[in-house]
Amino acid sequence: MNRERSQAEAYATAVDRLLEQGTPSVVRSVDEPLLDLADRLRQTASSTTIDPRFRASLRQRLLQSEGFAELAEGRYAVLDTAIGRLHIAYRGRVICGVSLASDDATFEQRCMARHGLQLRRETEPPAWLVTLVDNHLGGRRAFKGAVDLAGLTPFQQQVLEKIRQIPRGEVRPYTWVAREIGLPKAVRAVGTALGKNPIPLLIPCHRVIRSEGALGAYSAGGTALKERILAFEGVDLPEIKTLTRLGKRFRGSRNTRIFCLPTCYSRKSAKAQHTVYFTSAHEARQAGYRPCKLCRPA
Amino acid sequence: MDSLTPLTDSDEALVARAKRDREAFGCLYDRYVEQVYQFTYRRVKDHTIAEDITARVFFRALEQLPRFEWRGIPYGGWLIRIAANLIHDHHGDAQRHVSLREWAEDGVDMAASEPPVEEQYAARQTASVLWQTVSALPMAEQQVLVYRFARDMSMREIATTLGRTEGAVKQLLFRAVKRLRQRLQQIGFVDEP
Repeated sequence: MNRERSQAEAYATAVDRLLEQGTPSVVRSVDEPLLDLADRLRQTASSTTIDPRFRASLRQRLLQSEGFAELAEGRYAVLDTAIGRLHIAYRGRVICGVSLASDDATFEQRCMARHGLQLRRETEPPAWLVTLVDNHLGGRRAFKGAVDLAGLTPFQQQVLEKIRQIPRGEVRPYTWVAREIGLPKAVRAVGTALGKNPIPLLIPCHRVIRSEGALGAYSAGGTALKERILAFEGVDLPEIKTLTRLGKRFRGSRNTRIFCLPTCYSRKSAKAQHTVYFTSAHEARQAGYRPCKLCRPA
Repeated sequence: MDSLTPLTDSDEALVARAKRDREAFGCLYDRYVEQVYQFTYRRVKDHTIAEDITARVFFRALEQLPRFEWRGIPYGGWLIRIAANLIHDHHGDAQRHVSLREWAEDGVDMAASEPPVEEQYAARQTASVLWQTVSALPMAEQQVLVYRFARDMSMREIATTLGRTEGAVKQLLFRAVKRLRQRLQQIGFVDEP
């Protein structure tokens, strides 16, 4: 095992040198035919080569998408809800688009642009869709069903899948999403991915806010709408605003010595006299607090 | 994933079958995805955007499949036209009309095209066998070879992308090349040791 490791180390160094200098140099302890093969790969490689992971995942997505006949038949229905009027497009039982406060023509146009299909409006929304939306908005059962994220990159899809895990009544910062998907520096790209969410509300991109507590943008209808949805879901916005003003990002409990994001579920059992606030995870750790395992604040 | 497509089936036969059978669409995908991607990447010069557009090309192709009528033009040409339209939408230049010639120059073989110069042909064959063999390696090994040699990413960058340590990625590279050599030996592409 150790021998393979040192061989691999030597080989990687030889490849580095090969790619820098453009010619294979004889390196002791590196198998010549293998270096020769690296040189052939170098000569024949093209910067236009497709990412193999992407190639495989797109193939899978294509073959797993709905039946071909159903694909051609997109439908949409209009539902009046507590949040306002929703346009929802679907094929089979796969949700492909949601618009808030839209009109038929705009919505049809948008779906045409994204999925290239002509949608047919249902006069009455089907019962399964009404139940699904009612349960989701009413907080009885969060929507976990199939969605069509065609046209988004694998990264953007991963972001949207991740935020489906944020519970109702809670919010998470953009940095949290980036960290959770293993790319802590991709905060801006996370923002872009959320902006491309074709299924707002059901994929709750409104539950992602800025780290310092400001609500941030909402491409599905502006910050005011984002605020209204969050308030509807039971997020304590005045408290978030106060914490933002004070620069406090985390909440800790003196009893448990655990610190959380301000909206974490655990707040429900916390008493005011036992609560402390921190401006950073570092400060919380310094004070002897560990991060919560539910909301994973840091 | 087996990326070697059945070479015997014509596009026409595959398209007809694909209307009923997903796997046939998978074969068309395997046959053309690289060309669509390369065509797109050369024009948008950004891998993320190229992936985005490639995905949309194939989803659109899938959606329009029931209405697709065979007019004797290779299926790849039709895919490239969808790509050209999406690229046009992306940066709004006059790239929309892609002639069949341009498409052929992009590396898609056409029945009517002239055979390339012998030497070029041999070189292209070598590259094609080599990278086709790469595409049948385990996924992580494919990724490390493509990222290192084609994308010119450093070992550290690859480690970050794959979420592994640099040491692990070096071992992966080493194992990938060893396995690649083994496979090439099996098909008689390189000499036995």
